Amino acid sequence: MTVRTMCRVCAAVIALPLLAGLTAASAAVKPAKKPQPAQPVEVVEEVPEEKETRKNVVEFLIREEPGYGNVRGDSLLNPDDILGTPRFQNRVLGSIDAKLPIVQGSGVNPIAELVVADTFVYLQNEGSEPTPAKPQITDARNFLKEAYLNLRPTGSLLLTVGRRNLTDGVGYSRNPVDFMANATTLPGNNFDNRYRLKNREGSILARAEFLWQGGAVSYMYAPAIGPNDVSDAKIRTEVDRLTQFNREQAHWLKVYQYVGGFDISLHYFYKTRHHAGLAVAKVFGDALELHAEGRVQRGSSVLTPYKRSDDVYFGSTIVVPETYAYESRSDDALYVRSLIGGQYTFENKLNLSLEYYYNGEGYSASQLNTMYNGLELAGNRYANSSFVLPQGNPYRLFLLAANLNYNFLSMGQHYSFIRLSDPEFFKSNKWEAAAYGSVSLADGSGIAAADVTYKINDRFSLQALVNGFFGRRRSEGGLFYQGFSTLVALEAQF
Amino acid sequence: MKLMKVLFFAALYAAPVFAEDANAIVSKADRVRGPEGSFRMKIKVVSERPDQAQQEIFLETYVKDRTTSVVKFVNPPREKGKSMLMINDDLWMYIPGSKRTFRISPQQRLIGDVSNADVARVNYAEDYNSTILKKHDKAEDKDCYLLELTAKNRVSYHKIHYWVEHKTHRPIKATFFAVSGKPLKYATYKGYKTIAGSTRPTVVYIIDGIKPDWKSEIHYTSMGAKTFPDSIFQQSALPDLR
Repeated sequence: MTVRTMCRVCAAVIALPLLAGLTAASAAVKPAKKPQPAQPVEVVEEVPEEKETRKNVVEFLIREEPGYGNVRGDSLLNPDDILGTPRFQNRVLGSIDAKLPIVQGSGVNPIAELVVADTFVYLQNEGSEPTPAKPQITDARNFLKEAYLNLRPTGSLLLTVGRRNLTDGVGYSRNPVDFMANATTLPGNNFDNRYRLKNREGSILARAEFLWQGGAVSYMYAPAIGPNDVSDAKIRTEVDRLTQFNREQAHWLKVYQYVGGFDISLHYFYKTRHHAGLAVAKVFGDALELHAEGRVQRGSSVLTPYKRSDDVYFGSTIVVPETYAYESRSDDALYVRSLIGGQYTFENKLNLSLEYYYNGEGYSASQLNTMYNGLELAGNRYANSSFVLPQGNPYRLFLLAANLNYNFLSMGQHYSFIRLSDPEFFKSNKWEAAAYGSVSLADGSGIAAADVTYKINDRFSLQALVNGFFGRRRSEGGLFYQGFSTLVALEAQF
Repeated sequence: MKLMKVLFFAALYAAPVFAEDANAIVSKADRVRGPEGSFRMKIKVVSERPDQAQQEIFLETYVKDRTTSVVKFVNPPREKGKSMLMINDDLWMYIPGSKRTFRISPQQRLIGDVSNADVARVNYAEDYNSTILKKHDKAEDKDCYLLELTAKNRVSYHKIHYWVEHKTHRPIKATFFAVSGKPLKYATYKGYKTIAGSTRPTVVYIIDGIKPDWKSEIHYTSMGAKTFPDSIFQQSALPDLR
């Protein structure tokens, strides 16, 4: 066989499959040109496109929530139950969430809208006598959590003015970059962070956010609003309560970008101190999400316990008593808070979250010891009238200060968190369950909680929640005034 | 030896021709399932399991350029206000109850037994490499191509067997496989009606691969072309999405 003949054979060998492939390809993408047998004409029903309807979104939630908690007898913060802790508590909550378009426009979001979130709470305490700390057995309070105006002058710009609960962060249990975190008394006995985030009260602020696909930059300003001097005491109290999170002005600049599968946000925040923050999150594979966030700040506003004086005896009589107090930190050091964690979702939808939190502002072991020593002494002496000084009983004052500065599982430096949730508990779409725990790694104290929800129907649900607080007497968790608390709740949404 | 070399290079040359054909078929089937460009669709998802109440969720999806979409939960009241963002293979979820947008993994299915991607997008051509397994096969009494789709990236299904009608490129049925090779679910595309200017399936019936009495339906109740600002397709925008 000559070379030329071989080439011809090869060409034929190459051409045949290529031709076959191309023929198949053209058959695949072009209609057949051969005459086809007549087929019945398909009658296709037409579905008219539904017009976009823009309605005011108003949602109501009513929740009846009886609960019981046992008082921990050896809590150093609450000797002889001076806080008057109720055993039985019944809370009735009514919430309204309204999103009211003012100018709709043709876009997905309205050009101008008013957003209001308000919760009314009626509280009944049983099993305790009225105390100066809790003067009433029943209490009714309204929490205007949010009332703000959203304006969208262009598709990329969002302006917000009013009282808004701004949250931030990629962690589940704690969020170092959640700079506008406010304490609120609303969440009750539910220690799951997501309930606390939802139920906290907002701050009065103005924010401009410029958004593009995959990124955003925002600047927020919260003005300083001092205590007012309205003569009517009731009005003054209410106005002061509404503006309580605006005592100092704040600035917050945030840049967010989604890049290479990572969520990255950079923060600069100023409220009496300079803060810088970073948050990162990414999903790996089908089931694993990892996240990290942290902040660094110059100086700290956390007050530190210290021993002010030792007992000085004259004979057998104490002339100068041993006392403890809290003081501001004088250093101008850099303090870091950081969190790393992740969540894994199993094929059966079970979700496991694990996190580690480092609190650089937290007390060292020796500072915690100082606090426990002070509290033990105060517990022994607060009722003793011989220790009354011109400024009052120093032990009562220290107990009061310790209670004010107590921040459950946030006073130390090292914490772990675990949460296991099953959106289909008992393999049923009617049941949801979650169990979570947080532990101070310094002393092994903490909280363990179990939360089960039964969805009666689309509107009604029943929830049972149990919190157990554990730890030695001289531990952070052991300071908590309850040993355990439990509640059942019936919730309706409309 | 020379002949072997020639044949080898010929095979290398010919293989992409077949692959391209398969991708073109899948691409055309994608365009049957949803319009090109950005569009909006309203979806009802029904999940049924034996001895359990039927679950219905109403969604509104904004699809942009086939790889980016936002799903808004409209009903029931318990789900209302939630929203989900999908960019390529990445997912974010906003839950009003937590006031934050979370990064979630594809395994975190949020809508009964239906995957997030099932309601967030309608394209396989972007997500899968396709090959023709059979040029002629029967499905639901229709002449079909049987294609094998293999995941390019991290998507909901590792592999799909996909039956596409010859003449119309309508998707007829599909079998979705896990990495292990086990069938995860079976889908049939039905209820062809004129919607968004073309004839498209308006119902997808899904049967679980392991538990055949777990059934789901995805009803496309409305669909129409619409342009959206880029700014709504990012996680910071979800809390303010209406």
